[in-house]
Amino acid sequence: MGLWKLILLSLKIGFLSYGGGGTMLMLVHRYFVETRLISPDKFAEIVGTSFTIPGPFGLNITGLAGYVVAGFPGFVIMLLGSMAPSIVLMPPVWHFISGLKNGSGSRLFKSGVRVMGWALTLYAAVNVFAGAFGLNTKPLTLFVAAYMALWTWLMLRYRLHPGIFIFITLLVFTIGGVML
Amino acid sequence: MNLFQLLVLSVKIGFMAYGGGNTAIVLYHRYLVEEMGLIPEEEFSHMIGAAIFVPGPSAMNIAYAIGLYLGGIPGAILSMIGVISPTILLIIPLWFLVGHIDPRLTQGLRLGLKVVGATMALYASLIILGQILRLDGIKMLAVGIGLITILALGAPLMPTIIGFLLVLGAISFLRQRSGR
Repeated sequence: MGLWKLILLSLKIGFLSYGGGGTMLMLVHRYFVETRLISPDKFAEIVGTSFTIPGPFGLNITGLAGYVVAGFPGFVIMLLGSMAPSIVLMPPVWHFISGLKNGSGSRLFKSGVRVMGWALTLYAAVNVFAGAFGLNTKPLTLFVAAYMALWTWLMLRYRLHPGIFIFITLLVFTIGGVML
Repeated sequence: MNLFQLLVLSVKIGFMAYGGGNTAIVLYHRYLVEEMGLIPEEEFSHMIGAAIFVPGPSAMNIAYAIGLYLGGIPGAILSMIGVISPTILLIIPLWFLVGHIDPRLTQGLRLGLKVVGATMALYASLIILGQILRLDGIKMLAVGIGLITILALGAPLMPTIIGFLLVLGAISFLRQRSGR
């Protein structure tokens, strides 16, 4: 894939990613996996690696996808390209929202924007799960779902740091994989 | 807050933000609004609205708005660099590590990475839900419509988002007109 094409693709992903990182994940799937630039297995690894480190995971995913397709230049291009829209669009939109009058109508609009953001992240969560394990009732899938629910509850209820969850999970699964 | 302090805070938040933009938003709110009182609550809620509304990773969007508010253009650049620093520093070394370990080890590790990815996506969406849980009737309606259209009907994503925002915008416009 030519670098020029990659620049265009990165801008496209940046400008279409309403809702943040979760949407970016789906767009990378559409433009890299469905066009057979990256295999589904590799994509699942990219997503897992991206969530392992802190920071904006959307940029981790686009950056890694660029790296897999075109090496280090691809990494830089995908990062800058998918960030460009925020730099261009953020100031006007922020001033527009600040300028809205405080009526119930604009409150509804603002809360609608936030609700859409939430629906998008939930949608992305379902997509990540379906992509990695499939939506079925195999024992492994059910085990993973129960495991996820337990840890999510612990993190939300007792404000457990996500780093602890990530460390323990990777350790347990690595040891389990060697022993089985 | 001078520019150096802003950079240090952003690096700190970047390295603590497991789960992406939503976690970064929660952390910025904790430090800048609750503890230091540098940004008024009202202004910060405008920033959140804009960060989710504008395409691109919301962690970068909120960092950009906060940097601009506290330190102008240099502040915006520094806070963006700070938040993205984990991606720049860690993601490619980690990718090599995942690809070059003994296959017997990575078998379990790969499954673990998938579990981490799916769980963090779920966790992030639940954090946002917690932020918008102070719901009144109108917001509940917006939540219901957004969820039903996206999840249950399996509607195509982009047209649904644009249509949903257009409808909300139209409602807000009409309600403001009739309010006068």
